[in-house]
Amino acid sequence: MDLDESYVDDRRERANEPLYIPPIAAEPTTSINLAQTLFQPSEFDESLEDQLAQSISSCDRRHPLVSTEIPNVFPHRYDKNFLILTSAGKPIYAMKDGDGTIAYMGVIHTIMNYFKLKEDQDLRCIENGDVRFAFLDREPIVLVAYSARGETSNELFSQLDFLHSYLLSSLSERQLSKIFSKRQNFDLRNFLESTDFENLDEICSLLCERLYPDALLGALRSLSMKKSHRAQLHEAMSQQLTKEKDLPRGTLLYGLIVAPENKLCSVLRPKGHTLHTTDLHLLFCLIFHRFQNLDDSQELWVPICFPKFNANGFLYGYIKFLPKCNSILVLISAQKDAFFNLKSFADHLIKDISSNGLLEEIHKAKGFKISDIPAPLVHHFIYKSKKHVQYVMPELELHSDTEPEQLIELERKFMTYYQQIHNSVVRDDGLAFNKSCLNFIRWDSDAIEPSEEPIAMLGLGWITPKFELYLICNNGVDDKHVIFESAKRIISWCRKHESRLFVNEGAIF
Amino acid sequence: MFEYITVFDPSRSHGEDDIHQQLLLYHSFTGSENSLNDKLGQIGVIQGLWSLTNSLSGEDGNQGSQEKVVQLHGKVLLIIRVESRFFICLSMNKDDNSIHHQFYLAHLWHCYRFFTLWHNKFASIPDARRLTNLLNEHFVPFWCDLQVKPDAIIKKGIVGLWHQSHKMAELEFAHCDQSWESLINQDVLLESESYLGIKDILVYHLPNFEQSPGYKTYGLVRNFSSDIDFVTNISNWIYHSHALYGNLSSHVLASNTHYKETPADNTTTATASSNIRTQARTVVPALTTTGETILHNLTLPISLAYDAVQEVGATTGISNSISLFMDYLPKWNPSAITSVLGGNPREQGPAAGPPQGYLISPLCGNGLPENYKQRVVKSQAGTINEKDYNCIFWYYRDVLVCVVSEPNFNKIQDHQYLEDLSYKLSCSMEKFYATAFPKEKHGQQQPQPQPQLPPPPPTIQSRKKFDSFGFALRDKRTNECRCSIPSWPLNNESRSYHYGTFLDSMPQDKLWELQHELVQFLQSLQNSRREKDSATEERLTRLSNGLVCFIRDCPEEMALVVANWFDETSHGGPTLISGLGPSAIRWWNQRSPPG
Repeated sequence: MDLDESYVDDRRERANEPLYIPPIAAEPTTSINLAQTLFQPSEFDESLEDQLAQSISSCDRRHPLVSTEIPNVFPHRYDKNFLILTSAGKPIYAMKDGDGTIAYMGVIHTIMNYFKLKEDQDLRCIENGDVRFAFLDREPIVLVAYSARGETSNELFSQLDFLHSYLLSSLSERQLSKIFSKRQNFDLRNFLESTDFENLDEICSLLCERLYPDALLGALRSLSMKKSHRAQLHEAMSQQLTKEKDLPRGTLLYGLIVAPENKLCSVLRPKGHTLHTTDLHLLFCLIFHRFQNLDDSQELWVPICFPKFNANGFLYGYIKFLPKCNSILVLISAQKDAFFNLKSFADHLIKDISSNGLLEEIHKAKGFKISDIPAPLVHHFIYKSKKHVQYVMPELELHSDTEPEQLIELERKFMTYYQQIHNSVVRDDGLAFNKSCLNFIRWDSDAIEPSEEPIAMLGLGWITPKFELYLICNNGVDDKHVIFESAKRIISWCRKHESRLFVNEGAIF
Repeated sequence: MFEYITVFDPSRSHGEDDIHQQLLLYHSFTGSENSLNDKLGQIGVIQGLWSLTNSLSGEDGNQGSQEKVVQLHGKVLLIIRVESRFFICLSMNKDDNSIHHQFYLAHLWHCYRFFTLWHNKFASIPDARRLTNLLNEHFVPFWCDLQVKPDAIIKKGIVGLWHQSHKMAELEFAHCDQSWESLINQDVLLESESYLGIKDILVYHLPNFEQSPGYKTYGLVRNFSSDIDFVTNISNWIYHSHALYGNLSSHVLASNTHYKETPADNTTTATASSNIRTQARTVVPALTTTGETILHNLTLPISLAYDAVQEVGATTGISNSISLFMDYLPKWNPSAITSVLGGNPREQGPAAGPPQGYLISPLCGNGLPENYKQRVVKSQAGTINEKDYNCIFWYYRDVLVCVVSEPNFNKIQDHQYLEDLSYKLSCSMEKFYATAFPKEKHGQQQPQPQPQLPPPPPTIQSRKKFDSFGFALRDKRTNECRCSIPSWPLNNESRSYHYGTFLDSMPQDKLWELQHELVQFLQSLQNSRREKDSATEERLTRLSNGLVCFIRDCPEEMALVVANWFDETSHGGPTLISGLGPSAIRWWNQRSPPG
């Protein structure tokens, strides 16, 4: 199948395309030969063609509705909370501080210490029916999560690790241990600033309420843009580095351009070094939540600790909003006094890329829609390329009048679906059931209201050594062949457009 | 592996002074002596954990989950709460243990349920000392046995996880004029002598794990009454005993057999009565291989005698000698008992006819404890309708029959009546074997003239292949489960095309790996957050190792079907179950709906 290089292509044309990919087209997508051996595509019968035609024609509507079409199988009464305390039992933070949650921290502290002292063992987790508790002891900080949302222990631990990493990024491990070595019962709340608490709130809300698969997948979302534009951008960054004679070698460690919604646009990095995904998650969170009110005339110089890079020291970040495109340029240096060097680097780089019209291109890169991909009956999907440690997903297409509450509701619904699909292919320790694993998952239920359609949702989770695909179908789809064909098309589409969907190597110096 | 088991009831203490009264049982498996303070500390933390997690989960005191799993880095604490105030906690080490803790959690429930079956609810035994004694007699050997022989858990497989339900045997009986069931119904249950006296007859088909024609034939074939509530518990107890001891002898059914882990310098022996002679012969190697674990019988005075030998040996310097040991064996003729108590069917001579007889009945010798005469089970324990029933056990080849009678049915003590009953049952069982395994030669001799059998249905004859899939179904409403996924390999000779699956010939480690995989799937399904009362969830998982597994969880049932997708080439149909191949689809569509 010949896919157009521009994926924002004419939809009518696509209706004439062959209705399924011959198996050979999907071959390169999997390392094992699942595609051929699993389901031999049956002949498409007429009713199916009707369905397909319908789904394609629905894309032609002026305002394609992705938003509220799928029902929610998961009742939203399940609770979740994060608690952070010091090893001496002093409270630091609670995501939800109702009913004297803080008071329970003492009990938690006692119990954890009991096991530590008496049994010489750390408490890891407790399964209590539907609620799962996870305890992460990172002396001198203790983090606790409990959730009734069906996460695996591994998922809760990685979320706790994320919160812990935030604390380290703000304080650094050295500073923390220094404080607590002097006084074990130090009250860290007095030391943290109000912005720290706001950021913790923000991270918790990202983890619990938003469509934020980054933490679940351990990957970054990338900005899709034309291959040539991305190459030009990287070229410009590299050239700037060689041109900049005043910049002593080693001053600049990393350079990043980040688009809104935490999408990675391009990277400038030394050969053989990459930043850890968690560090980048933290950086992106900080940028977009702490500095969202900046305008493009302002610039920032902030110390930040990248806990996975070096938990004991600080790096310094030069942060500047790029004019006209809401994106941000981040330059990272190990030197405290490199501000002016980096500033001049940034000024020149911005001048360079805006003269090329690349800023416009970044601004124009709007991602893709589900209707851009010839994958019938698929509502939404997430595709993660393991090689790039990045993922892509179609933009949520919303009504213009969507209320913020509705948006949150919607994001949470999507996130729950993805989390459930993801958990259906991984064990409790976070590893996939097998090297490759394909799982269909189907939820059936009567309609909540008699007037509504009955619920028949189909999802698919597919993990192979090369990619991970999570996919949600439209309500009422019940043929696994169609979905599997669509899944193969998505994979083939993503691989074909790999260079525009993902940031590959970046600019390397 | 196990560290300790404790049972406690916090409501027994009213203040600081009598806090030790909470503690009903504390048994350490490691032999370490903990001070009372340590023990109280442990149960205090367990209570603390319990209430902390309940409060944070937004659950009230008696609501919410009755079980918790606490994972430490190298340890697991399994805690259940029963009768809303008694806590049972098992602590175990995780080291090189290939058995998932969910199995142990299920067995904690099994253990409690067996206790209520033979004794009573905890709350109905007000005397703390008596309760402690009973707990000691019941809980400690149960877990010691499992410690010595974790195979028992492996043999039961995922069926052992479902402690609320009992496994049913799936046997297809060829059509004939008078079925074995109607024989039991007419000649026993509705017969004037025993009408209303015999409450129910439970018929189990329990072939040895290795020699079974297929795992799906294992379990309760049927019972006849619908209003006895202990079927699940007694069935699971029988399966557990069978998996544990491998052979259901009188001693096993009388709950008098237990394993004992033999310390390096100490070997002891005793086994089911019929084996006494052979066992006596095997004592010699047993004595030389130290550390070997062998069957230990608590009732028979052998161990006492042996202890005496040990003591004498230790004080007088005489080394363990088998002749000295044999002098202390009680003198009776084992073969005389065999005729009454049954015993190992395979040891019967070829001319003896199909092995059969009573295992537990009033026919046994007067010198034996009450448990050998009849077992008393509690029905509806802890309620005002609480009632005791008497059970006697009878066997015929691989079939175990449990006759449940009303407590006031004195006829059951009558020897003539019992012999008649035995004859009637054996007539029925002959029919049972003739119709369930029509092609097989059943029994060596047929003393009774065989009624003419109609030709077996064509389905039975035409089957020349093993099932290409295995299944496990749990009906949530009737508490019955069916399963054809073995966790123990079957001998090739005994496999029948009619009942076997493709899994039967797999090696044991592969089968156990599969079971482990299934536990993971079930656990993952447990984490599902759909509206469990109304929504159905189906999953079709394919792994690159060839396993394809379909799981369906709905309010009525849980179904799990596995197959190998390397073997299946055609994948017709849009539904998820169709991913398992045509024979699975056929089976799925034909099976009777749950309930």
